[in-house]
Amino acid sequence: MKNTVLVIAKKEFMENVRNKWIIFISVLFVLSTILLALIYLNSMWQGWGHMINVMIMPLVKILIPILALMLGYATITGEIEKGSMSALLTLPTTRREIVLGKLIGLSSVIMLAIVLGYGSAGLFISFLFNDANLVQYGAFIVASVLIGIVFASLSLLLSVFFTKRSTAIGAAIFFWFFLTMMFDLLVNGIIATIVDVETLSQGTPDLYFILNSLNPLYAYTTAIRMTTNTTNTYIQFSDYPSFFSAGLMVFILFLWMAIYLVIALLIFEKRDI
Amino acid sequence: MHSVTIRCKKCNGTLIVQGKPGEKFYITCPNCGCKGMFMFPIVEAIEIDSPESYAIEVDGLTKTYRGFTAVNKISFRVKTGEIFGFLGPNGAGKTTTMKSILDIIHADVGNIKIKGIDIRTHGKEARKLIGYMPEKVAFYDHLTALQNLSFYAEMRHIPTEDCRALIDIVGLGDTGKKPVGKFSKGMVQRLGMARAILGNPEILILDEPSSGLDPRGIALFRDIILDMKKKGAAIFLSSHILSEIQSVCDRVGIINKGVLVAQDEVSALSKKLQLMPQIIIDLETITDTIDDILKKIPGVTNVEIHGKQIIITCDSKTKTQVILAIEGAGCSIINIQTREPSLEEVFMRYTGG
Repeated sequence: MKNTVLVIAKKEFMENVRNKWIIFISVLFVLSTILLALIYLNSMWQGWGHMINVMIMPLVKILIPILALMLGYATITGEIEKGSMSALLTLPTTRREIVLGKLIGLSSVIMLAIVLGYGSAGLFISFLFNDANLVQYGAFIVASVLIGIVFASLSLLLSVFFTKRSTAIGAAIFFWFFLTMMFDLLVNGIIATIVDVETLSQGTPDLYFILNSLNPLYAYTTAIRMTTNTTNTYIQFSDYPSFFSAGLMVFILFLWMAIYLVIALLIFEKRDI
Repeated sequence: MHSVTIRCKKCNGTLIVQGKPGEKFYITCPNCGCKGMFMFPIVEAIEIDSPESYAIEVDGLTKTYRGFTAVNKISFRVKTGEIFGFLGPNGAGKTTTMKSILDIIHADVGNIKIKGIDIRTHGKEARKLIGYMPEKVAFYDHLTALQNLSFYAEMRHIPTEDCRALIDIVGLGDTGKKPVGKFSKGMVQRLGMARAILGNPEILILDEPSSGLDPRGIALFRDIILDMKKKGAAIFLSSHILSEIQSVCDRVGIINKGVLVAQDEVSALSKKLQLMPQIIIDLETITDTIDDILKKIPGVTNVEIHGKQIIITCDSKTKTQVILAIEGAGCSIINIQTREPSLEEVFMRYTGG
């Protein structure tokens, strides 16, 4: 079983690594990181961890989901539409192995882009800071790879769910927009509706954090905040529910990976090609 | 239970052994006491009813799409070493049946076995035995023929060197670094055949293999199919080119509106439909009475006269009588041709065309 999964993963990797999109976005990772670090150095703020949180992460949060969704949305539906899937399915393999192989292949490409892009940029900018902490930066890279895999597995789910590339890309854009832009607004709306003013005046309720942490992107940013020990200006560590930890946030990321993957497997297993 | 009389190798005395095919006996000669072992031949047993003797067994296959029954209770078997042709009008359910056999499409009802292995529960094992060429042949466009084939070879644990030889066999040896995306339809089709026969599978399922091929390609495919048969493969083939089916297939199945309406050898099918061969005779001179004379011969069902050419439909046994009668009537024959009932007629009759 392992062997066929790896053969599929390798092919998926080779196919995507040549994608011009992946080269473009890796270069974008490097340039944007260096540029943002330089801007930060000339600002009134200070501190390496704060730089990661306020300058680099907000962009990463937008770019990595786009990268993963764009690479993955067509990986299954495109092959079905073109016709090569029927040949793949008649090989001595299973549908589970095909989906796993594709996820591993996609994840490796994303990992490569992140590690090369942010890794080289990180090394470069670490010379500009007095308090450069490569361990913290490493944790940021690991978390970024994880969120990349979460979105890769979401993109696979969309790819097995929709029968046409065009609808799959529409759904990918929707999910990206919903998770990056809409989710916290929705949580704010829910809190404002169900929590009374008096409770709100005593501080941010736990429910706010719990609901937000259902969003993998929120879990990602919180995990980095907690490992770099920096928060943004309006949320303090003391506001977080007592059970919040970087480990829990990483667990949430793994949970989403698994949820998307399992649903994708169940759908694909039943589908007629 | 069989019984066989055998001779003792030592004293040449006879003894009778009873048993089943494949059963082993340790026997002692009643005359000289010489001991030996005897086994009933098992060849017969395999041919009669072992599950492995059928390459493909389809039993009661039914597939419905949102109320539309694409395939309705189809049952048939393809034997090892046999070429089974699958015919039917467009949309009759050919591709659905083929894809169900491979479990690319999940059948609603029915059992499908590949060499005795259930495709639904042991798909991976069963698919090891099958090479498939889909109706819509597609590859990874930016990879070359060799790169594409190597991927499938790796998935099947076949050495990559075999791919180069196969590419030559299908006539794509000179495509080199050209990506498959730039191939013509016929070239893609050739590569599709190479993919299907990769690793010499025991079962070959080909869905309209010759579509988009030039005559040379069609001939090449026919040779490949016959060669695979020679190697002992079972071949399940659909095609709309009836002459192609007629020339290579041992048996055919005809599907119409999701129902298998006939399955047999082509000649047996035409016999069932009472289709008769035609004799076309060109004459130097023709007499007026010939029409009546011929019609009176028992076994002749139709006589058509076009100038100096007579077309007679009759059963094969009557042919000689017809020719003698024509000569007896004083006509001299220039040329005789016989035309066997074609698969096309069989096809038209069964599919209500």
